[in-house]
Amino acid sequence: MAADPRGHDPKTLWQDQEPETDPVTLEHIHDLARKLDRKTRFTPVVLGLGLVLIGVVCGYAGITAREPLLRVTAILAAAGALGSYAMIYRMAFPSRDPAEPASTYLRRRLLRKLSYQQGGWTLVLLPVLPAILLGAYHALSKTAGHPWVKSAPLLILGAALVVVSVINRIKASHTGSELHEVDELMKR
Amino acid sequence: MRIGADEQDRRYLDAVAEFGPALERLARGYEADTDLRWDLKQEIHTALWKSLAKFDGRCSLRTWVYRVAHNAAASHVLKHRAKHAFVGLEELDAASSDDDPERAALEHDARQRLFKLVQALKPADRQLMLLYLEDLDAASIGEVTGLSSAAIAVKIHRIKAVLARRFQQGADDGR
Repeated sequence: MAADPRGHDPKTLWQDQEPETDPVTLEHIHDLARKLDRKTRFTPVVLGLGLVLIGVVCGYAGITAREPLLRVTAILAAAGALGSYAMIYRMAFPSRDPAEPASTYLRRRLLRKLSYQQGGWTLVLLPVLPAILLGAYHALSKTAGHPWVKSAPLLILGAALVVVSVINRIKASHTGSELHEVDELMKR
Repeated sequence: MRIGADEQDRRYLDAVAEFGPALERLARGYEADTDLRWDLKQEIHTALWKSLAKFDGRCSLRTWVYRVAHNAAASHVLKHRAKHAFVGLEELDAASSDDDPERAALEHDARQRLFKLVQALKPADRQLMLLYLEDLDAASIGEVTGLSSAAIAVKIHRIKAVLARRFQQGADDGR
């Protein structure tokens, strides 16, 4: 046992801590659990409302559009939003076992974090990508104005994605090394 | 199998009566900031209360409580980690006596030194250090973490070395 030369045994030091004066009561737990449940129920509703809004906007754009290309874009956007919703829902509410062994849980969390940092989050954009590209093509080829001005929104979106990706890639190197250590530990 | 709310409360109160102080120490080991520690304590207790509705006896209550608590704490650390840079046991073990005198004086109190040491560790190493400090044997640490006994033996060896050297070092600094 590693003992401090002045008579402090680390285990004793650790276990003899003074208790804090603010215990968590059962009533408080019930209250927190209720809030958590409300949040769990509320999030899909908000996501659903967002989806309905996108559907209405796309539907209106599709009905009022004169060009077939815009109608197709609106349909693709609505369908893509549905796909993105399903992916976001799965990401927001992963099935989990609360009493999973601690290393397995940590590994799963690190893996999820790494996947997000390595650009996994961009996957939720994939379902709406055809609509974005078709919309961009329409804006560039069928409307009047300077090409730079017309393509500005797409360029800004692209630049923002690049910046976020670079930041996340830097963070991913730390997460990756930590995940590697946990993997090594679990392999032994 | 789902159980009634009263049974869930009873299980929770039993678990807290037995492991409440250990959960508090665990929260201290994971979070130095007082406000965030209160948040973490609430997260741990809420996770434990919710989990006990699904307690299926696949492991002992102690293992269950520690697993749930460490998992909640790991989530907390990963969420708030931007503020901290953690090190592994190997790095601590390999580090020479590079503590500056000012820091050593500040950390003169043995328990404060222990807190600092635990809170500086990466989550995987911290899990093992905390379970070791709670006096769990290697088999019990294996049950909580899911790691093999060989991996735990190596880590405990390092933990002992780090604690021995750090405490020796801190005491020398304080003389």
